[in-house]
Amino acid sequence: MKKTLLSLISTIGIPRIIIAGFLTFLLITAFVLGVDVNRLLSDSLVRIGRNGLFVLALLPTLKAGVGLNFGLSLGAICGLIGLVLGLELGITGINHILLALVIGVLLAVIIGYIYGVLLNQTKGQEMMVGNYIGFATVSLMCTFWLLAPFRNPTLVWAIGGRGLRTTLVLPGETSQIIDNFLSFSFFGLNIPTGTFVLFFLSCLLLYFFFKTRSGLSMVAVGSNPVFARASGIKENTIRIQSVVLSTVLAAFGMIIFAQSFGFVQLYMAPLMLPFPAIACILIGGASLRKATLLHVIIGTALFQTLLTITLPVVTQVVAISGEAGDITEVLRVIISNGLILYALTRKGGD
Amino acid sequence: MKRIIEITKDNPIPVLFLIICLFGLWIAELPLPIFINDLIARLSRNTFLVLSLIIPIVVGLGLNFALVTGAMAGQIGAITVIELGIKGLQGFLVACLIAVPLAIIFGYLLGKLFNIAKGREMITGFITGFFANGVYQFIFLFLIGTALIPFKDKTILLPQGWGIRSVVDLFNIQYAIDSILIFRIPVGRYLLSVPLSTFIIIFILCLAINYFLKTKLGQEFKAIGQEPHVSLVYGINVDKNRILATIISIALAAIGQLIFLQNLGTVNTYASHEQVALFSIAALLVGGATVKKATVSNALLGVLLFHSIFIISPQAGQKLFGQPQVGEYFRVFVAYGVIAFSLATHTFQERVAKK
Amino acid sequence: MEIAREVDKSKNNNIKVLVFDEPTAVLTESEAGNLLKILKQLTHKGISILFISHRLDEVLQVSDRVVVLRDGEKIAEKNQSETNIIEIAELMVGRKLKRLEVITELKPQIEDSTILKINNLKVSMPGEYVNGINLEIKKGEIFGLGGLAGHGKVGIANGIAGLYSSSGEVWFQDKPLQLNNPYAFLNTGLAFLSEDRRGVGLLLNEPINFNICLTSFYIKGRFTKNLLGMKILNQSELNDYSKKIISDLDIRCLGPHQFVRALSGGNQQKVCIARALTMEPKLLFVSEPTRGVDVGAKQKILEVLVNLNRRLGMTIVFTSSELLELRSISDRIGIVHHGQIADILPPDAPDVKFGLAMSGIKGAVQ
Repeated sequence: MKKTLLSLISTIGIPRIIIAGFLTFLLITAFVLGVDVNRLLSDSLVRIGRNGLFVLALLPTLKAGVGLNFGLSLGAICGLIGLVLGLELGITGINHILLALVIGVLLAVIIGYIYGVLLNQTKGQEMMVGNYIGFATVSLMCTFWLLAPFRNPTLVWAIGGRGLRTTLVLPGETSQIIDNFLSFSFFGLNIPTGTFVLFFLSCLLLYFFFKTRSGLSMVAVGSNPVFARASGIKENTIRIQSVVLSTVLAAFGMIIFAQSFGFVQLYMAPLMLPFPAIACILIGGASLRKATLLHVIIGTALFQTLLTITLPVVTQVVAISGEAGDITEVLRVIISNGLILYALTRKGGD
Repeated sequence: MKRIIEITKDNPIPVLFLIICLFGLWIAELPLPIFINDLIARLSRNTFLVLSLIIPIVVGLGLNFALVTGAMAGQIGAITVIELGIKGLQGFLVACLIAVPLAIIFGYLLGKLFNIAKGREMITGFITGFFANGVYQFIFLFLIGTALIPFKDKTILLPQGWGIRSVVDLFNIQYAIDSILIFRIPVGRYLLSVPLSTFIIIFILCLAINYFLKTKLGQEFKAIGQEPHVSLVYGINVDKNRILATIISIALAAIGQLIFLQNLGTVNTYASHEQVALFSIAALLVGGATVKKATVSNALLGVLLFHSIFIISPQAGQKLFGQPQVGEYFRVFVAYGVIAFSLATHTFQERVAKK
Repeated sequence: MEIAREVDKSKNNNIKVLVFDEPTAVLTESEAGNLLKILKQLTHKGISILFISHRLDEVLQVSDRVVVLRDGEKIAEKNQSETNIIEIAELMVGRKLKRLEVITELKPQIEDSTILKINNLKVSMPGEYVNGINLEIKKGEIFGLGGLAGHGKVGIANGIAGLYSSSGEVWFQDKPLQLNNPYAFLNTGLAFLSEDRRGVGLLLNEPINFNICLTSFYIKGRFTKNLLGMKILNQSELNDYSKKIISDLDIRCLGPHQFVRALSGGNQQKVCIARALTMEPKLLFVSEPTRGVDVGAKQKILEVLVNLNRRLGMTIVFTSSELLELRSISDRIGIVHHGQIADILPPDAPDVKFGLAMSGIKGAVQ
């Protein structure tokens, strides 16, 4: 009994137990202070479902040794294009999501392939190069949103009639369609069932993928590229596959995120998108060398809950008014970048 | 003609941006004096910061994406001087006296970090910038004005009594350097103002960098940048020199940010420093520098070209597409794009060279 | 050129001692001759010279005193006038040592047919020089490859296995083998145990069973099961197999799920062997399998190799820098010098012959 408990603790890791303890402490404080705890938890669940796929998208490149995919925004942009096209054509509901998926995934395969080839040419600096390719693409896409010939009056600026608005509202039929699928209340908690089911299905699919020939080769390439080559595995092809998979998952993630959020945010909005996702997987216990599905799930749950419940509790305790600036935003920046920094400076990336 | 082709071959990036500049100038139809006046102001503001990037490149650390920490030190200096109520050149010098020691501490810690994360210096610096910015925001938004960091000057605090306002007027040190020696040249209806004193300081820094690279220490830096393993064999303390180079860069950036701020006259407490690394690095790269090689002339040419594009692009976007935002997004794209391109070509060439 | 510059510097800089480490390796013969002349002149100016070389004739030509080192120990010190090339060659190899006794009751089953034919093989591998190897390996034999470090013995297997770019012609069972293609190499029924165990041979941060199965899972589709049309890893089959081979090879570990990093060098090597065996190769290249392994494990590894050869009829090409172990288990030993096979000797040939072959002189001395 004691032994299994110990091994459980070591699998989850001390830091995560501390964070979980801290979260429990926050929740109890919230309850004592009379904050609506159910709402906090519901919000946390929504945010976990919303962001889970972005975090999952980081797994393939980490496994294949390409490193943290700082170019996650490339995939997100593919998803955005799919969503916006649906809006432009006036398609709503599940068809909108499906259309966005088809277009988004197709684009993501192409973009991911090109991106993967580029990262192969820049081995050793993938993270930095990927980051700036992501940044450059986001800013280039800004001119696209501005100049592309979209005509739907609900999308373009009222004055001048040209260029998409920064934030597009999803029609009621599309908004939260997956969140609300089979959604139910549980002790006053609203469970966004559809999104959760999709997230866990994706995790399951990835779990089995990492047992196939391609998936295991990815693990081998990431663990030791020379070993992989000596075993007849084509390192570069596998790396490209991992980047494509990551980009496709990011596109998928963007669509799920948007339907849950109810808005499509364009222009510079996707710029910093990879960073919270990266923080999630790292807080979950992943390193540059080792990342698993468990890291993805635990990390997303912990980090998103932390972000959701810190602000209401802190404002209750310190009585900071809203105009003082968002303390959670500042804490998010410190925590997430601190975590990335820690991962980068660990000896040998272990 | 042959010579032009040769120059293009040796410096493809500056030539490309020169063409973009000329094209933009032609499209934008900006009155030349306005353009030149703006450009002079931007040159005097930004060149010092760009120059602060050279030393870490020479020593092989690559592009110093953590320049933000230096800029923060500069801003801490500037805001402290308001609190102390010191004005003019004296205020500027006191700000430097506060900023530089801070920058040295930051640079030392950063250098240590770079030594731990060898081979990943750039991404480490980049993330450090974000991290430091978070800490900076925390201090300036939530600590200043409280019992922890008391602050007398209530005019620059937020209404609630703590936290610095997001825009702070720097009237006390505005033009502290610029106004020492300034030329005003009338051109037609316009008045060109040339802050000669600032340019003299920049010129001195250029000479100093070039001189430094010829000293024994400078030669050691070069050796480390080119052959780190050989340097070790020759008994050069590689790690120590890398820290030293980082300190120099961050300290220069602190002074550079103060020069930048005294020209602007206001500081965006939470934004002025954020883009420092991005725009300085982009400017240096536009001038033909690479991750491995950068000279003073790269910096000067780069600032000239990059900021020309900066001035021109909104107007050009307006003229070409009827929308100035196109130009604004374009210049952001130029900044990110040139960095992405340089990083990619650099790593690619390194790999080819290894084979 | 560089040497000339350094020598020139020493003339001016008042240097008293000069160290030359294999200075002639990069030079042509006439250049080397010139260098040796210059060195002699330098000694007349009162400069002491430490001359390190594997070329015995050069050593004797230029030195006043000769020191022979072997396995990090000083073996002998002789005046140049009192010794000769044969004595030094013998000292270099070490005749006093006994052969390792590898117990086997079975006799080798060597057939006359050639299983592997190598024609003019050149490999570009850093630190190794393989420049035109010609070799024929007979089916069922253990063929040893020896020679001094850097002369190319290690490069041969690495080149054929496709790890470093190579040219030339290789026939396996009378069919041409595609070079520079590790997949083709493995798929044809060959396998390679790298000398760089931790760098090439293992996934240190993965469990033992994963290490053992990966190559054959990838190449041959072993340990698979069907899941909705997808072929995925059959974990239970793999675990059973791993447990069996762990006990067969006596790998000391906590079980098939232990990470390889935590194992000792000898046990790591056994994991590598297990991986190669799982491939069921017809011919196995083994490079330096006993390097960094304790004595007990060493014996066990050699026994495993011999047993593979005797019981399964596996042909083995065995590369080692330890002449002793080469002579213990090989049927024939090829000595590589300067990128080519200098001589092929039986394991019981006199020490002198081995020593001379290593410095590039083919069995002229009787």
